[in-house]
Amino acid sequence: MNKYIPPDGWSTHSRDLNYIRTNIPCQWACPAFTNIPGYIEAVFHGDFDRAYLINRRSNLFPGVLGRICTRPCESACRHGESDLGQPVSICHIKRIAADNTSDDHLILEQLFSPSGKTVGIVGAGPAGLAAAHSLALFGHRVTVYESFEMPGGMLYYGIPAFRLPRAVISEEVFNALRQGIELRTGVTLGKDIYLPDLMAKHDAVILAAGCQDARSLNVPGEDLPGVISGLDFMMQVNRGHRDCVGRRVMVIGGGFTAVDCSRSARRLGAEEVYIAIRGVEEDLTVPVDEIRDMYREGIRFVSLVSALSIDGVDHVSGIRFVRNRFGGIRGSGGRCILPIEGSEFSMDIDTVIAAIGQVPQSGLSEWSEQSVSYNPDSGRSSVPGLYGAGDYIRKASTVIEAIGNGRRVAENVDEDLMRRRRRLQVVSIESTGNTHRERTWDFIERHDMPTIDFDDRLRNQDAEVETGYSIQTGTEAASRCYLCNLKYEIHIPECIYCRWCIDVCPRNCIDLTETLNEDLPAPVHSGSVTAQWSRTAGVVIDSDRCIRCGECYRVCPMQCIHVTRVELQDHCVSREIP
Amino acid sequence: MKPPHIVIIGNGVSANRASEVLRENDPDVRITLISREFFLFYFRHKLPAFITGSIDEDSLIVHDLHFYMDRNIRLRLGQTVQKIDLENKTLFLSHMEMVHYDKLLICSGGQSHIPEIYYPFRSFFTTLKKLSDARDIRKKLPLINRIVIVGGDLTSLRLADALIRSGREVSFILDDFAFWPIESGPDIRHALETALKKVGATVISGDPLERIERISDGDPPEYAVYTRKGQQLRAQMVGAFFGFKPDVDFLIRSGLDIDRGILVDDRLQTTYPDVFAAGDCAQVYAPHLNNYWVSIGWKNAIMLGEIAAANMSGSEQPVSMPVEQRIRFSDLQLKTPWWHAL
Ligand SMILES: Cc1cc2nc3c(=O)[nH]c(=O)nc-3n(C[C@H](O)[C@H](O)[C@H](O)COP(=O)(O)OP(=O)(O)OC[C@H]3O[C@@H](n4cnc5c(N)ncnc54)[C@H](O)[C@@H]3O)c2cc1C
Ligand SMILES: Cc1cc2nc3c(=O)[nH]c(=O)nc-3n(C[C@H](O)[C@H](O)[C@H](O)COP(=O)(O)OP(=O)(O)OC[C@H]3O[C@@H](n4cnc5c(N)ncnc54)[C@H](O)[C@@H]3O)c2cc1C
Ligand code: SF4
Ligand code: SF4
Ligand code: SF4
Repeated sequence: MNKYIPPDGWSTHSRDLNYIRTNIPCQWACPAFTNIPGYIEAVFHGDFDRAYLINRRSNLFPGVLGRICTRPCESACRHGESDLGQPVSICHIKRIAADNTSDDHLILEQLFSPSGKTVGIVGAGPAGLAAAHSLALFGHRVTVYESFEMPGGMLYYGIPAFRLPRAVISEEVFNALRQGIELRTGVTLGKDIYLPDLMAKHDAVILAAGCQDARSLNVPGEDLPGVISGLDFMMQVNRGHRDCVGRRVMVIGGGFTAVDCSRSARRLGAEEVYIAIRGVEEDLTVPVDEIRDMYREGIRFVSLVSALSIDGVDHVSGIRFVRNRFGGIRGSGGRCILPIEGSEFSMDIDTVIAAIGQVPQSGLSEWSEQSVSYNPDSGRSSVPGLYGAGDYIRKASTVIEAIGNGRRVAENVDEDLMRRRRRLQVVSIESTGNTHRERTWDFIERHDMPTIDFDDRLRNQDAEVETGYSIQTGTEAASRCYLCNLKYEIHIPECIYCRWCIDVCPRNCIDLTETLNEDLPAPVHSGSVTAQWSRTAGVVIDSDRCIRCGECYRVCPMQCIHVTRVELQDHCVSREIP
Repeated sequence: MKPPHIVIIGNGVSANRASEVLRENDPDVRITLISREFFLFYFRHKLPAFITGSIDEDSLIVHDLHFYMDRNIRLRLGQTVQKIDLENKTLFLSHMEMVHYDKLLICSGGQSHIPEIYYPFRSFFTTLKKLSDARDIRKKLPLINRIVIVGGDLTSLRLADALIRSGREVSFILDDFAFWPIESGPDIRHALETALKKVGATVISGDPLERIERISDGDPPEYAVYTRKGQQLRAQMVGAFFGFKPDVDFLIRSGLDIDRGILVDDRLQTTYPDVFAAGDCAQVYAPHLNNYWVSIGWKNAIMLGEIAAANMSGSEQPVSMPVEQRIRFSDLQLKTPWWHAL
């Protein structure tokens, strides 16, 4: 009875790719597939340069994302399963790597030779920059056209400096542009340049123009002075305007823009700031730390309300709401929100910031009078040579989604230009002969992010609120990670069925099985569990529940439990992998 | 066919009252109470007296086991419901058992509220909600002389009184956030201040907590407590008393509608037809207030438990707002519809 133990090396076998999906939940949840356990282990060993590089390979802006990422990985983290405590602070650990790289650390890039092709990209936001960087590495000549004066898109013009210092953006954006990318700022598609000219000039064109048209509230009074859209407000704040709010501010909406508007308004001197949401706090798309910060800054939620009208004569003086109730689940999955009859009420306010979402600018990609459709994953469009990336084709999303998508679109552009795939996802496999962890680390609690005092936030409105983990805290936080990229397997021919491992396993995830299914696209093998000793064919570990604590490995008298490190990597190839 | 299984999460006053009514209404249904706590149902308002040793644990108990045996109610203590699969009507307990229900009543009560601004100090705070908290404080108390209480909710008043009577020095840092979710404001704060001083507490008012440091890890530990205006207090225990908030964290993303508490209609039904909520964990829309309310209080939990049970047995009883009652503490009089003098 031999089993599948992949040899050390590279694999593109679906079984190994599948292992990553089911067993490294954080990496799979990251839209850019960042090798999270890989960099966390490097941080644990104090190798911040390496940790930074591992990050940058997938997500290009580790210092930026270590501050403002929405952290879909943390919601998926195994440590956060309901009986295991809190997720690993993946994002804060990313930041500590970025903040502590050595002065002379090397940024290594995998550079193809020049291809002779040129690509034009419209928009220097995260998606456009990620695509530009990847395409430059592929050897193409890239020009980025950007209408604003600074690159960075919403990193620069949306997200406020107290969450993301401008120096962090400029350093990482500069590093992304260093491969000979030509950046032309102050150039607007549809005004200074036109799509047909761009298409004629370049072998491929990517539109990564983001979502910049604000959705309107559609209520009476929306045009009164004192009402402003969330995005316009943040752009004004980020351009240095400081006199754009009154004293009692009502922000409407439940996304990042709304939260940033409320916190900025507070810093600009508003005494009372409310956020009105149609549903409840649980629906907000911002990380819980930030909600806590909002509360600390004295911002209040008014939940379960919809705006009916904005009142005032020549300026906003109040807003009228109706209270809502939930009315069950809609066919499409979301919850029905219904007004409660007779529950209207008013609040006195002098500023309304409407932050209920943004949509892509219309008309940008009209092509020979036909409208163009895009595949939101591949970025390919109905017009050969024209692609889209980021929020422009995927609706308002997040920075990491924009970066992940920008990179994937770049790979597709490269494939179409070069007629073969030159960057592949492969799985690297390496036996470790060690658990790399101690059981006691599983009981360490998640560490809070330290922040500056409330008064300092108001005194210097650009002062970064979160100050970052100390190296000691970061190392401890890193030790909490189970290193799900370690795969525990029992080599059945050597096992004597003593069941010691079963006795010590804290997760109850080692089973006796009747059968061994070896060919399923399953991680290791699985089988039908049995309690009957006489029918046992093997002892197997359920990797999905395993927390890589190493107890079984340490106790096994036959040393037949193997630990291998399995990692998803980008592999650049000039020819097919043999 | 087996009679339907009604599961109640909780073993507090609303859960117990509901189980009693459910049994009166139907002698056959299977009823199970599941509670995270290991103890029999007890009077929470007597915990301060238990802490200072003026009563023992037995006098806290409301119902002994005969109550449940006589009514054929199954009591599962020390078991935590970790999540709910509403589609398949299954509860997942933390020891990896699954329990099926036909109807579910959630009476998970409240938990001590710590305002977000004080969240970084949460590990230094002592709170009082459960008997296990009280046991803990009672055990430490012989070594403790100086106590700082931050907040100033109704529970803390009674505790402070008991502690001062037992010879401890108690200082209060009064806070506007004490009566979550309502801010108390200057008038209530002033009245509280007078009342507390009268029972012998030192009171700091209008100068909120800035930070807490643990300056020694001994037994008992020593804390330095700083206010915003620079006052410094030393204490061996720092209590946080900011009222209670619904204990519904385990339900987030379960599919139930959660705002502050579990959103229920005026029949105490959630958006799922066979799932009800009552007591401190429920949030109801009150038409005459034109707002939602979460009630925290003993008698009110009894009333909600009764109504939920009646509606689970087929009635259509709406909740009504309880009558406002006066509660007194020293010279302070407060009117509240929820909290009752016990
Ligand atoms: C206030 C705010 C806060 C946010 N906070 C977060 C957060 O904390 N975390 C997170 O993950 N996400 C956050 N987001 C969302 C995130 O910023 C976006 O999802 C992300 O920036 C999208 O990247 P993108 O490159 O697709 O588009 P954008 O960043 O919008 O970049 C598009 C670029 O295209 C340029 N452009 C547009 N039209 C033209 C044209 N006609 N010609 C030339 N150039 C043009 C624009 O000037 C811009 O630079 C926030 C968004 C906002 C508005
Ligand atoms: C010290 C103190 C003094 C008080 N004094 C007064 C007073 O003088 N007057 C007054 O009116 N009110 C007072 N109260 C408040 C009153 O006790 C509460 O309002 C009342 O107990 C609420 O009852 P309940 O049934 O809703 O919930 P609780 O009594 O809080 O019971 C909740 C139950 O749910 C269980 N539970 C929660 N989550 C889970 C889970 N996930 N799995 C399993 N079980 C779970 C708990 O173990 C517990 O048994 C006081 C409270 C305290 C703590
Ligand atoms: S424990 Fe570590 S490797 Fe596992 S999911 Fe969480 S962050 Fe990822
Ligand atoms: S490492 Fe071994 S003992 Fe630990 S959880 Fe996994 S299978 Fe169980
Ligand atoms: S401890 Fe080792 S030998 Fe014993 S059952 Fe487990 S894997 Fe087999």
